[in-house]
Amino acid sequence: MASLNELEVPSSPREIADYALARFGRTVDYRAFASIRRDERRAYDSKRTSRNVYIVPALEGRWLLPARGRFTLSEWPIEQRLIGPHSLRVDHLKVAINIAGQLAWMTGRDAERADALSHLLANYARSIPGAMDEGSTDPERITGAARAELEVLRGDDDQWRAQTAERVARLPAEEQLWGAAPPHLVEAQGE
Amino acid sequence: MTKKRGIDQGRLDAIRGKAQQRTPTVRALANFSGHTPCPTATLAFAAEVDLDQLPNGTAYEMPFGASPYHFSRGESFEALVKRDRYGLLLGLLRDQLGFAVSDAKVVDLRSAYPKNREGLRLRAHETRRLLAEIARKDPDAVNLIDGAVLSTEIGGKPAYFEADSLAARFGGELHVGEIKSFPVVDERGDPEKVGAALDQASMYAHLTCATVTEVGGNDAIVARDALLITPKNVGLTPTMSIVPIAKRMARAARLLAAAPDVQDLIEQLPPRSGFAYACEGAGEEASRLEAIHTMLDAVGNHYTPDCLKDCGLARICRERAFQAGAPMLVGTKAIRLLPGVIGLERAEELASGAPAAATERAAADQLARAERLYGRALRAAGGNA
Repeated sequence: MASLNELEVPSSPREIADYALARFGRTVDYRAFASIRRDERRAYDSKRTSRNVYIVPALEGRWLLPARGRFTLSEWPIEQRLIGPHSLRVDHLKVAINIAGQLAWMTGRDAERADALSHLLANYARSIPGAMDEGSTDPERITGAARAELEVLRGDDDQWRAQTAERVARLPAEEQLWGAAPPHLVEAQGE
Repeated sequence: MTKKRGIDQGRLDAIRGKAQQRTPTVRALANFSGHTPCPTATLAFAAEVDLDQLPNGTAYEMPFGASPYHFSRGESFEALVKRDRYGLLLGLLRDQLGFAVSDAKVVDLRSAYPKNREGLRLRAHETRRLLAEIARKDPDAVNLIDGAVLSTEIGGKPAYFEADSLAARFGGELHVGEIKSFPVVDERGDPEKVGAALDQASMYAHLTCATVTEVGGNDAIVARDALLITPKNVGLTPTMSIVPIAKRMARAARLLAAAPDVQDLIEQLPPRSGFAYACEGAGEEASRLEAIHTMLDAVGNHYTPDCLKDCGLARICRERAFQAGAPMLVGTKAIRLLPGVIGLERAEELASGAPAAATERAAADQLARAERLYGRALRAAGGNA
């Protein structure tokens, strides 16, 4: 949960595990996430447990279905828990910026963590135009490049999120957290 | 116009019974397209039966299957290309194809839909909608579709197929892309593997053209080039090749159109027959093989030596062809040299100088000449003619 909290975007088990290892030196078996969704749902449904925050699925696409492999925190604003057409790329850039910030803070405090975060950041920065200079990992350069690309994409993504969040807000409370049920397609004649 | 016949789905389900089901993928469709003239293969495909598994546990079991290492490397490479929220793939598309920074709208149709038939239908519905947006040049149209599901008819039966390829839109064109883990060294890959990958891509492109046309678009937006994403040399760094596929797409269309009518095949099967009686668990080996022969007798087959590469019934069909002396045993190239000759036994007679019927005369002259040349060569080598 701490890793997801710092990533701040819908993330896959592998992404969460990679971050936990680099940031906290903690090994998380990402295969254990297979049961997390079910366990969290059980805890939510149980009258015996009452928590402030649950790990819930991201809501994806036009049907607001629960994304199988991407997790969010229930306390996040709805907009932050959505995945739309631009969201995957926007989220990638946001994570790069977050990690760059963590690295800048960690440098000089904990050499081992800083080194691990630097490697993780390099992986994220590889696909960002202008982020890497001959393979060196410069958090400031990477942040600048990520922000430049984010500027191009953010407007459309924010608009989609705002519009979709309004639709989510009209769903029953349970579906706002756990996602809507898939629609039932009526067969056209001759299908 | 001929009225379209419906398919007796209940009967088709009964024909399948508990036989192992094939996966509904474009890859499976591309493999099947090489067998569309075969009525039994078409019936199996329509009934969603995995023919590769059918003779398991009998003397005719086929030694198919790639090694676990192959699958592991394939999955690892595909995961690598798609990791970081498709970051590596977008980077390739930008570096090698000039994708703009703003061309970053990605839809993954696998992650949220149920993994069942209903999920396939929903994905197909969504795929159509996304393609319709692309076709009418909607400014919100996506740039990358992963996990599309397309539909087509096989012998009159509609079916859905999941694409493990990608579709990438830029510059007004939609390209199909295949991610494969075999290496490309000095811009060359294993010809057989490249061919199979391009056949898959071509089938996907063909189905995409059909869908674009159905939604009122111009199928010219589907590029006649495929993107082949493979490791560069022996490492895992991805590289992208752009390969023409127009001829393969045309071939895919012809092959699919050649599939016999499925309802006709259903009606040719006697009651209490079908794959249900031939699969593992259906009974003793003898009765299972009898069930397979009953089907082959009823609906027919179309054996060629190529079937040995990828059809589970190939050994059985080859044995039947051998017993019948079918010319097809010697392959399609040899067949073209034997017009009018009904079997290999007759070919042997003609080679020995037997009087030829009018329809056999051309082949008979060639066979007799070949026999003389063979005899001469054998004598020269010290053998007996």
